[in-house]
Amino acid sequence: MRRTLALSIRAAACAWLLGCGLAAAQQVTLSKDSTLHTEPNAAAAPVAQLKEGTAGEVIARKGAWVQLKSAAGTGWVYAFNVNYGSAGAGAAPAAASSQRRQTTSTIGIRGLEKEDLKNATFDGKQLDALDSFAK
Amino acid sequence: MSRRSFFAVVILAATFGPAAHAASIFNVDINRAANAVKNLGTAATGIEEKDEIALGRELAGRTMGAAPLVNDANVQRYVNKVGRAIAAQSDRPDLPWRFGVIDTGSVNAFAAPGGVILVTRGLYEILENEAQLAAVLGHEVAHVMKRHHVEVMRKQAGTQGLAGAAQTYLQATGRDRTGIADKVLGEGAELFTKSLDRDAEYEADLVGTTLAAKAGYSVSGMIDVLQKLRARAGDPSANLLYETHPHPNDRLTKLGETIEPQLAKLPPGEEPPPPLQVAGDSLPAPVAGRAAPAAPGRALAQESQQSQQQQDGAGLGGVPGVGQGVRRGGAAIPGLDMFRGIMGGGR
Repeated sequence: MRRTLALSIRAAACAWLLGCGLAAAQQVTLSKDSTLHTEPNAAAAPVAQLKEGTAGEVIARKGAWVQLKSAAGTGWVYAFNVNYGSAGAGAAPAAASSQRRQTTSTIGIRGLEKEDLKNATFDGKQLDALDSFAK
Repeated sequence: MSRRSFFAVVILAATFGPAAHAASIFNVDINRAANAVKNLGTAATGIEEKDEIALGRELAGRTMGAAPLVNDANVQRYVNKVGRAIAAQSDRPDLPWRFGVIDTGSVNAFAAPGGVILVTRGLYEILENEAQLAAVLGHEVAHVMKRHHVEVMRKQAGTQGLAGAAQTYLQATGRDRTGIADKVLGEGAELFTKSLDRDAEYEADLVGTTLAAKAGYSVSGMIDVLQKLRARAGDPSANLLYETHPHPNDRLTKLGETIEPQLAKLPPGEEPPPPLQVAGDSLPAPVAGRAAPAAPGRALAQESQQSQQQQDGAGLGGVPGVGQGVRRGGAAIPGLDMFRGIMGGGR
C-alpha cells in the first residue's frame, strides 16, 4: 500500500511539474538583504539590491547560489538567504536532480527517542554486519 | 607532563631536531612523524586512538541494538562508498570508517568516536541526491575528525576516568565491560542523547561541507539538507534532532557566513548533483514492530508489503515476517539475527 501511495504521489508530482526531471519553479522570500548578481558568484556584477522579505521564484540552482526571478530582475542570489516558506512539511527546495520527495512517510512517526537510546543494549551481530558492508 | 606527551615531544624532537637534520631530509621517517601527530591528538583528548575506536564501536553497537541496520545490502554498501570518499578528505583517513543506515523513522544521524557513522532511514528517505547524502555524512565525519564526542566522554568520565576506563575496557568482559563503558557512554547509548556545544555543531557543518566539496559535491547538498530539517520543525520524527542541535535557521545563517570566504577556493562540485544510487523508496519496509507505525494497521500493511518485495527480489531475501517477535533494545534472540537477511545473501 505504501508503495502504491508513493507511486501515486510521484505521478501527481510529475504531472504537476509539467514533466519529470525539471526542477520545480519555487516561490521564495529572502531572509536577508541580498545582492542579485549576473553570475553565481559574489564577484560578478550586481543586477539589483534586494531587501529582506522580497519575494521571487527560483528558476535554477548552482552550488551556493540560486537564480531568482524577481520584480527587480533576474539574477543569482546567495542560497543561504532564501526561505522556501514557513516551517511545514514539504517547504524545502526541490533539488536540481530530484528523484522523489516523500513528504508523508516519516511525518508523525515517533522513532528513536531518548528513552530508546538509554535502554539500548549492545548488539555484536549488528556490528559484524556493519563491518561486512565496509569491505 | 604525561608520559604520552613526553614521548610525543621526544619523537618530534628526534624527527625534527639536529640529529635528523644531520641526516638528509629524505630520510625523515614519515611513519614516526604521523605517529607523533597521532600521539599529540591522544595527549589532547586523554585517550589512545585504539581505545577511542573500541569505545565508539561499543556506542554504535548499542545504538544498533535500539535500531538495527536496514535490511538492504545495496543501501549499506552505497553509504559506505560515499562515506569513505568523504572520510578520505579528512585528516583521519585511516580510521576504520563504517557507515550504516539504521531502521527507524526518526530523522537523525550519529557519529561514534573512532569512525562509525549511522544515518537513520527517516533521514535517508528525505534525501534526493548524492550531494545531500554527502553533506550529511560530511557533517558526521567532521564530528569524528574533530573528536567532538570524545570531548563529551572526557567530561562525563573526568580526565582520569576516561583514560582509566579506556585502558580497562578492552581487558574486561561481560557485565564488567558494560559497566566500564557505562561510565563514559552513560546508560545504553545515552551519549547520543546529549547536545554538543553549539560551536561544535557549527564547526561540523562548515568542515563537513568543505569535506564534501573536496570530494566533488556541490555545497547545495548541505543547504538543501538544512532547509529540509527546517521544514520539519515541530514534527515528532525530528524530536531528538531538534533537542540536540541548534535550530536549522541558526545553522544556515552561521554556515552562510563562515563558508562565504572559502567558496572561491573550493572545487565547484558536480552540477546538477548526481542522483542517489539507491533510492529511499526502494528500501524494504521496516521490520514490523520496530518503527512506531504512523497509523494503526500500518504494521500489517508493512508485512504484506515486505512479502511482496521479497517476491519482487528486493532486499536480501530475509525471511518475511520474521521480525515480528523482535522487541527494541533487549538481548538478541538466538539465531534470529541470521534471518534479518543482512548476513545471508550475496555480496
